[in-house]
Amino acid sequence: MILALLAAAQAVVVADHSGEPVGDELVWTSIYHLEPGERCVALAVDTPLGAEVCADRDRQPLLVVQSRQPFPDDVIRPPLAVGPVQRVHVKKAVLLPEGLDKGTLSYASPGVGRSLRRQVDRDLMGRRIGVRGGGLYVDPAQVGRGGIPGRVGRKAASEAVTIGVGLVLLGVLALMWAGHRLLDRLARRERNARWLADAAVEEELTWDGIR
Amino acid sequence: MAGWTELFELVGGRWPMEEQGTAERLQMAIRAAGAAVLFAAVYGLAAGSTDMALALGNLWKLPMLVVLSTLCSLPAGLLAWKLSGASDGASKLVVGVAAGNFAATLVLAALSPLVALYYNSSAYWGGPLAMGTVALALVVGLFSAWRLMLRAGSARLPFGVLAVVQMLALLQFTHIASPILPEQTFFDLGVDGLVDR
Repeated sequence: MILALLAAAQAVVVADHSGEPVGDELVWTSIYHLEPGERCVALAVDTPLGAEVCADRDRQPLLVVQSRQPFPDDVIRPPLAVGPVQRVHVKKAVLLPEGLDKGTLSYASPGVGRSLRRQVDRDLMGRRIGVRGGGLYVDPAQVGRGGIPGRVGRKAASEAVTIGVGLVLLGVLALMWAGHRLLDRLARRERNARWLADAAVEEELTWDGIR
Repeated sequence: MAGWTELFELVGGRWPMEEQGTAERLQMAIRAAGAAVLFAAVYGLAAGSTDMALALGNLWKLPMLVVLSTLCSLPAGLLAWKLSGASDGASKLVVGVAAGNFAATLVLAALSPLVALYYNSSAYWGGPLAMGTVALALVVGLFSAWRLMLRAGSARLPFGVLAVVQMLALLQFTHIASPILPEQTFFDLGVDGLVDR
């Protein structure tokens, strides 16, 4: 068993797990880049996919699988492979993991430093896998079979609030435009009054022989 | 053109004309706000340039952050202006705020090509650079507003109140508008993401 796990640990070079809510489910799309000659990946987390997923054809470097979990949920359950540190991120949802170190742009398993995170990003980008950096950098060795403790949920601000705020912005911009037009006449009057005052002073000075 | 010259004088910390009337000043503030909206939209495009939907969304999200956070801070700032017994009209405070936003978004727009370049060519540095430019823009914007208000003879109180209220509003509007950057940042969660209860 241990030998099998060690063999499987060699199978994945790098992996990216991208989640997106579809109705009341979170759909994970996972891309594993496999070592040459490998076609099966042992999973470190219990998912509907089972304990292992395999590519259809031999010698396929990329393996893409989809997995689902309830959404929202109190656990984050991407199909992490047994192997190296992997990136987990979501669209249109928020990840709030527990037990990971919090950074400005990402969360990471304890011991997964900046250089390792960057290495993962470089490995993924070099193979044109996934999106930009950020999200969770998870060491599967530190994750139980139940998944990453924490929460995956919707954004607290609903779509309605976002749309409402956008409409307020439009209203404000319209008011600014109208305000600028309304102030035109007043501003012209202020400018004219200033010119008249300046001209009067100029005339005084001329009459007094100062200029 | 004269309007732009006035705005750049404000960024340089100079009031265009001491005898300017209230209407002229308010018009100048509106022009500065309009320019800030445009510059913020340019930065939004750059920050979201790796994802078309994100970039298009940012066209209104970034202007929204600037305009609505300013509107949230103005009432408190005006109250503090009056309480501090400032000798000048409150229109100078409004111009100071608008000029601060103008300067901040000018920094964002000026650095947006660099942000777009890094997001599209680097695996890691796009996000930190985008966050860094925002931090720099905030510093420049606050400094510009502070300098103008100081030259208008106002006390430090109105500036402090304005700055704090606008930053607090900005944090929550960022939460409402997220995602703005391709990455999830702790600002995306608003105050809840920054302060653990």
